[in-house]
Amino acid sequence: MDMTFRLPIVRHLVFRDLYINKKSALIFAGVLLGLLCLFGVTSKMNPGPPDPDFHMTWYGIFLFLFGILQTGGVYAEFAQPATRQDYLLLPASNLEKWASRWFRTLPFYLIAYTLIYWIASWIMNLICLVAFGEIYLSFQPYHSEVFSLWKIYTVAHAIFIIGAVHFNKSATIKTALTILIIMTIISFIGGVTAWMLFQGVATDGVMVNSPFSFNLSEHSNYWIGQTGKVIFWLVLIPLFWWISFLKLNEKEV
Amino acid sequence: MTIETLIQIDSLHFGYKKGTPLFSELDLQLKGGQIYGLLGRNGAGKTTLLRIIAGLLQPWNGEVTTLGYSAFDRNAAMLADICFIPEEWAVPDMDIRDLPRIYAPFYPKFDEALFWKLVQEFELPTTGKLTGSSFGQKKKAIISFSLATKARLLILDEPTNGLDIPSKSRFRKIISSSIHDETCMLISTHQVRDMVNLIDPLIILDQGKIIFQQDLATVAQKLRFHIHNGLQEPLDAWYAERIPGGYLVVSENTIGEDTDVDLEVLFNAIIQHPDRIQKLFNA
Repeated sequence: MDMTFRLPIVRHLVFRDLYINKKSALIFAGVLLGLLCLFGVTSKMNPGPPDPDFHMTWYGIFLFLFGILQTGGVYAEFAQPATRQDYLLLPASNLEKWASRWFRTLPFYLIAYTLIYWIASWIMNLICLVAFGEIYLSFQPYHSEVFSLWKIYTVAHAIFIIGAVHFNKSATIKTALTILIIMTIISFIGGVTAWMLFQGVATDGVMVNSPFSFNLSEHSNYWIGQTGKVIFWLVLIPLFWWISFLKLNEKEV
Repeated sequence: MTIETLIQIDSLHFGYKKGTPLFSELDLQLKGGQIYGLLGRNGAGKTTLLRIIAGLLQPWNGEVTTLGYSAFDRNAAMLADICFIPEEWAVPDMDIRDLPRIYAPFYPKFDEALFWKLVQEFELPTTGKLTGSSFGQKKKAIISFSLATKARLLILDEPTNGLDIPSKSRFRKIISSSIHDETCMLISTHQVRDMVNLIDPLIILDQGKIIFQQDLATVAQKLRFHIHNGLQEPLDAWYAERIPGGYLVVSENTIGEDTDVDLEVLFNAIIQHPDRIQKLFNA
């Protein structure tokens, strides 16, 4: 496995991607602006005070919508053998190729999207100012909720980037369906296991016959929670990224 | 100066379906300074072999070493020294002027002056979208770019498809002037007449096996290519092809006559009599 990593090459790969996808980026910015203006102006027209959650709701929805579409389609060239070949033969290591797409769909996307949303929110407010004489609501990009959304998006990204490398065609839809199937299986197994372990447990929450009883102290609860977080963020998410990198290494034409 | 082995294939096993190998125990060695012609019938595995060499397919077993690297590792240094022009390719949606700007940084030896010189030689427009160009123009742009990368290994799959007659002769001229001791070209084609005076040695792939690998000087030494006038097929013919007024004949060169090798006739002779030809060349 070639682990060559050269920052200038990663930069060229990102630049190449942005150059090739410049039309899609402009369409994305235009759609975001159009929708935000539409929703903002519509909300302003409604009587009553402005919805304080307006920006966080739409910021979150658009973040996930565009982000998942972009991440799921980040290896769109895999759909055709000719374009797949063109990409795989680009003189860069698989690590550099993977890193450039990871960068484009995660840190670059989060910053670029937030910036575009912020600009769009200004334009929306400008329209409201012209039309109604006052602005609707300003968007605060440094809000703690923005960072919470970024964290959740990182999880979605880690899953969808595996799907993007794995599936050659319609990766976003196939990944979403795979998640749905896996979640259904896990829920079913979990449900059956719980039923087998806790059958006889009273519905009012009082344990009657269960052979298992969990009586953890607050201290233990805290540590279990912290360990879970560490495993999730430092092991599981990087593991998903690593899997997507390995999948890229295995890609054939 | 020793000529370097650029491609080394040992005991290659590969197939698309489990239990149905396309290649079994295939060995091949390609050296620098040559323009190899890879010929074979449809489905013989030419494109697959080219893809394996370029690292686009993973062998089931065996070793494929391209420019000193395990091919499927797709090492960045290996990729920077390979240019693969497949039969079907996708041109990027960009102006021809942007092609070097976007792609040249990946090729450390890229020669922009040579690129524009080749663009001129192929009489390509120096502005305008590549996607709006004709198939032949796109191909010429890609060939120009590939040669300007100064890659040591150039793999071309049906390079003359879509080229007009003047472009074919320009292509031959450009390709033959681009070869030197450190480079190797591997050209897979069905259009053997387009490759006359260009490809040498010749590799023939049939049913997943290399049944013939010889340089044309040896072929001319061992086989005689001539026209036989008459209605009867000559008795000494190993292979005869009906033409107006007679036959195009391949026979053993027992008289030591130096004749021009007709690649198409040679290919047909080898496909019809592989064992006989192999016996002659191994003698």
